[in-house]
Amino acid sequence: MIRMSDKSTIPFGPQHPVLPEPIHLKLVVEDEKVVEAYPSFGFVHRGLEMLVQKKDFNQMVYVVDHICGICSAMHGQAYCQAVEELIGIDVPERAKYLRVVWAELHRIHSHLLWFGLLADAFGFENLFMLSWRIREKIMDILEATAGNRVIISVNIVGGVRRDIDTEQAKWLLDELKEVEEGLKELEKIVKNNYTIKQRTVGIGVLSKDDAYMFGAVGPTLRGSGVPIDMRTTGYAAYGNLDFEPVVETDGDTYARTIVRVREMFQSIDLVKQAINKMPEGEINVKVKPNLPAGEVITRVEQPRGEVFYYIKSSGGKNLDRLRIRTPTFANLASLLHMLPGSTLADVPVLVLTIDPCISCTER
Amino acid sequence: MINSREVKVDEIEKEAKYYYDNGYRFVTETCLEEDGKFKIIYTFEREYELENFHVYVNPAEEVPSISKIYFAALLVENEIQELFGVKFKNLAIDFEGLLFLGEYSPISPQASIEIMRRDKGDKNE
Repeated sequence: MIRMSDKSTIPFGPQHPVLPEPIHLKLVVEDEKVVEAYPSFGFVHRGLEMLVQKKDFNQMVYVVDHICGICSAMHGQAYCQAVEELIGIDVPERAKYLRVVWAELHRIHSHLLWFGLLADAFGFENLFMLSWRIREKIMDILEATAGNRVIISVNIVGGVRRDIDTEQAKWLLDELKEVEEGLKELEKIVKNNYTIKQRTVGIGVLSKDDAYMFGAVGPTLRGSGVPIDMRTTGYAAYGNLDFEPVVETDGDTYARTIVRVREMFQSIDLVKQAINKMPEGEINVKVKPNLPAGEVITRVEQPRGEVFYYIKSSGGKNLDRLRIRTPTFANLASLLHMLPGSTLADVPVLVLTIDPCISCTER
Repeated sequence: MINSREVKVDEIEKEAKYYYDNGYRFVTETCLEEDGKFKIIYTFEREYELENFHVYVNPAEEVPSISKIYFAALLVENEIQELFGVKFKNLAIDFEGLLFLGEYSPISPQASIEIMRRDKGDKNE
């Protein structure tokens, strides 16, 4: 008797209802169980790193701002911090606090965007709408304070290009009170809803040791009980603010969800602290037109985790090399570890559990 | 500024094993081209402190992969292989040029050593 193989290969993406961006997974399944997973990317690769050879170091701020629409301010911040360290300049204190304000607003809207997509992936459309409705408030704050909703381009080498005055800061804090109320509603649903728990508890378990050794970052790492958060290194004004990394220990999709929910409350607190402690003064310093020779590595905690920037200069207006290791790229090894053994129905949730940003990965 | 020590290509696995055994997590590998050679910087981290070592690789030389020590290195080594043309041996999974590129993709503009070799009409092509 001829027995057909129990294994089938199923393509997931690059176009898939739960994916806002293109990634392709070749899934080898045995009945409904995934036994192997192979990724491929490159559908929207832009080669932005190479532009350092054509754009001077100031123009490159706008290039890195456009790597991602969700954490754009943090890309600009990481790049500017690297160049500032290379040049050896200290940006004004006020600029450091302003960088924290915009970075934390980005973290909130990124987590809310992710939360909506996750809800959409398991068919909870009302939750998707609630999440994105709250997010609109943050987008309004970004537009009012920086002049744009998505790519806000506030960072420049030497500081920031916009200030937040007292009146605007008061308005911002009032708006955040409404965001906080919305988040409390969201948190109540996450903690009590049967559907969410059914689709996330025990799904995609990543042990503490695996998360660490697979090089996971951000909520993917902290959801497995590893308290690593680059903000605790004290870059920008984080060293003057009071906070601890948000950690959960179960290592599943639910734990990562709770980390992100708690981080949104933490971000609101950090914005409040930053605004209350922000000193008066200049928001940027002038920078000489030529770079010295040298190499610098900077790391910044983006919503999805630590981004790694390496720059190399041999002097002049252009960098020789810019290398960006994005958090999604760091989390892919963990995803490849989590997929085998899961059911096909859980694949969309598992892909979203690391909050993949393909535009970052396809820098 | 970064601290990085140079090691030889055949010492890469031993170095990576040292970091693995001492509880360092893998951060990334960074590839550059310097004076017609590849320079690969390996970065590891423990308790927020980064450790780097680097190797210089001749274009025709094969680089031992550390993906069987650190699985996370698998993707970046495949990326470097595709975008720069560095050859890695013993990769945990060799995507054979199909992780970022496609079957009919043109050569990556970052692979300038390979582009120059082809422009010169190297017979080995």
